[in-house]
Amino acid sequence: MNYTFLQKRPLFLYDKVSNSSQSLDEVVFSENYLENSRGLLIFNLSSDKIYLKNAPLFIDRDVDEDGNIIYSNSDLEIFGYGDTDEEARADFEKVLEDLYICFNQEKEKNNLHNNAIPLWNLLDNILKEK
Amino acid sequence: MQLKIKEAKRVIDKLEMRGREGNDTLCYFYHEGKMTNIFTRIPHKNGDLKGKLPDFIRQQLKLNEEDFLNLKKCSLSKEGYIEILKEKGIID
Repeated sequence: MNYTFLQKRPLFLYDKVSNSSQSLDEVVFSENYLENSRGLLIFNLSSDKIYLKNAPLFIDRDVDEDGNIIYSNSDLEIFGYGDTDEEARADFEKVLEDLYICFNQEKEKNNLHNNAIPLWNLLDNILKEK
Repeated sequence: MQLKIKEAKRVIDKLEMRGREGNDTLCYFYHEGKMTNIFTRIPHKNGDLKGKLPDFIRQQLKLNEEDFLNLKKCSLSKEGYIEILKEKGIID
């Protein structure tokens, strides 16, 4: 487990924003960008329980042969999916929230297996409870 | 690779993976009473999972295709699964 996700931010997006009147969020989630992209950035979560303290979070976006839109993060080894980008993102965020809360609860109870500590450290580095 | 929802649920049951109380998003694998870094989800779609989704689940369970098929077909037990994780150095 490493922290390479923090270095996966596609810097060309920042260049694009600096030459545009759009915000970074608007560029990332613009229709044209999503159609052509395999990755995007999440700056905010819709969760009322957790938030990103180290934004943005890079996620991969794939569309498989059955038309599932899949949002995933290989460092956290999680994925969300749906028929639309909105569904896939909501699903991804729900998984992320569940993962953080469950790991946090088990950490509090000193009930994490040794092999789960690196993942908890990663989660704790990017997320915080509200 | 195709995976039926009921097959995915059977795998999760066989490995005695636990969900967080009141939440069915993710199921976690516990070893010697402690929660490991192995988790996957009960798909909420109906019918079959196709495309990349079965592979995502397989990868979350840290298995190659052959072992995952054996787990799905019931020829690989929970004890066998733990042995595989030990051989891979995932748990000790």
